Amino acid sequence: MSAPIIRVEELTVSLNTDDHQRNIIDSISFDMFPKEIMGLVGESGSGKTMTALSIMQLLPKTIKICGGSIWYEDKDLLKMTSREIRTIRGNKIAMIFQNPRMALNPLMRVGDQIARAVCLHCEVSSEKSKSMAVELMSQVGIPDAESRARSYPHQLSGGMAQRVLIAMMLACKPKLLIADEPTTGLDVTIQAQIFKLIKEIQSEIGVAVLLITHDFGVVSEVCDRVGVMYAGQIMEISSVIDVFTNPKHPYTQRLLKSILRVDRKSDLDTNKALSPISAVFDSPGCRFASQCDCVRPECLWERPKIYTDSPGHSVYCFNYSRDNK
Amino acid sequence: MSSTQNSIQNIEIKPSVISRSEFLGKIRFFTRFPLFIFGILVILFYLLVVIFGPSLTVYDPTIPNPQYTLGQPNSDYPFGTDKFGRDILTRVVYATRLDLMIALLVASLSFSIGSLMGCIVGYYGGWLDKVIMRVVDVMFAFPAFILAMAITSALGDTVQNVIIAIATAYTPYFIRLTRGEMLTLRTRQYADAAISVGNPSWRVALIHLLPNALTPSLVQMTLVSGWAILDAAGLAFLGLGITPPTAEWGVMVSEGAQRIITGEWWVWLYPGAAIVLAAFAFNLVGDGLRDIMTREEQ
Repeated sequence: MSAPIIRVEELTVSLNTDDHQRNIIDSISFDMFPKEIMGLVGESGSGKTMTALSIMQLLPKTIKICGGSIWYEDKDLLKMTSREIRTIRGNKIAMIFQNPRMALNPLMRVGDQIARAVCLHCEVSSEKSKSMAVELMSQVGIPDAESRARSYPHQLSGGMAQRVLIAMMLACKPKLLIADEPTTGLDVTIQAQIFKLIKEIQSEIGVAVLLITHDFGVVSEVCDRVGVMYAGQIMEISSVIDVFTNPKHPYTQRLLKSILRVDRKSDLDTNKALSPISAVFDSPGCRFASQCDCVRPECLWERPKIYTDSPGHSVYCFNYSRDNK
Repeated sequence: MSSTQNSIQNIEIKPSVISRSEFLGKIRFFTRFPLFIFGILVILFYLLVVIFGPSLTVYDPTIPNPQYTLGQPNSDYPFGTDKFGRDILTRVVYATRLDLMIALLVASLSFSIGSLMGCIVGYYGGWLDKVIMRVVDVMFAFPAFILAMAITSALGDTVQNVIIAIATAYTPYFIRLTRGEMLTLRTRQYADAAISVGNPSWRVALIHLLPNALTPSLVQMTLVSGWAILDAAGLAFLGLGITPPTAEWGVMVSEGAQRIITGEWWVWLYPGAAIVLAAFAFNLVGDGLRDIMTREEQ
């Protein structure tokens, strides 16, 4: 495999309240390779969005990155000045958001918004940027792009708005696209269209996509690799096939069991109290330990090391370390 | 990508151009606010007076006419004359120019400076925000008129200084309004989206967020226009800022005030009425705008 496009190393992000500091992302590491779609799954509050925002350096003021590094090619994004980071944002790394209609400026025609994004990165005249905007809009499957470009965000449907947003983010052909739950609030047929669009774009311009979602159906359809997160820690990273056929981490196993399926009666009771409670954030060991079925004593006070089973399948769990086999 | 295109072909596309019936609907919507319409009409009338008035009057606003001092209104002098024999109608018409100019300049000056400052402190926050908002609090502690009085007497009596003084007194209103809006807008997702395509922060604040923060300030701007007329006239009445023999409503009312007991009512009534009507009209429009905005939001 080629060199990773982005390499997150022991990233730690903390939320500082008046009385104490809580690591909402605890020393996570993962790589992303060019042209792959990587899924990041986990339940609400597991730190998926915060990971994405850390890469974009868009964290709210109360939340600080307090350790680790994020390497883009061979530059550390966390050590960049705000001027340097602007050359990365949009140009190299772009992001699409959960609620597409909220992510568009309500007072600006969508065509102009895309054109401005084009202008920010490419040296083109405003005339040229406008025609490029229309081109981009038809490229993301907006019919009658010429006249749609003149409409305001409130005149668009949710799916249409997400297409506009995708067009805007593609304006400068980024190397990495972060999609933070891009289909929340859209109905399933539109969801399918948006994911199809993302896949098409990914293969067409060869952008890597970090897809944040909590929908395993989407993961199995779209992604090449998956990272499973719980309470700010990565539990398991593997190829999409391995995650479904051979889940290693007890949390991944339980998470998969919780998926509702027509052909199987789900055991909902075993999965209650699964979501992170605030106490687990202060634990020095594995944050899933308190709810794990195969917990070992060391799980409670020591962070599990990475254990690599087959190439590209890593688990953070003492159950798989060589001494315990 | 053709299959995706086909599947969304049947989504209804709203035309972005306003059709004729939609336009009539908008007109009908405004008729629900009769006072607002009245205010607009009065302001339009004043504007007509500003543009055409001076060319329709036959007298000069400042040259005395000893033959006919303190003359009763008659067909030659519809509003009568003052103690120097100057035609009141002519003076009221010329004063309209001056007072409306003051109102508009004050409103636009305080609006542009106030909104810009509010935008910056609201978006960036930090120590600058703290310092400016404390200064604003101090300025709010004074009634705007008193503040304007202090500034005018410090700067000296010219029209320019009156405008600066009143504009300064009303700038805090706009700072506070815009800052408040910016505080909520900067957490909106489109602010993040604008940053994530690579906009520098000043562009996010000024180009993407500021236009969205201006709605309450626009209402305030109309109200401030009305208040500015009252303040300019009030200052002139007290002998500050604009001084005789300039044709100005406040100056004229102050000259007429000496005549209230002696019965020459026309000297003060007409300029007084002009002030009241103008301030009233701007207030009606301001209140109407606020109602319309809230109605539109619902």
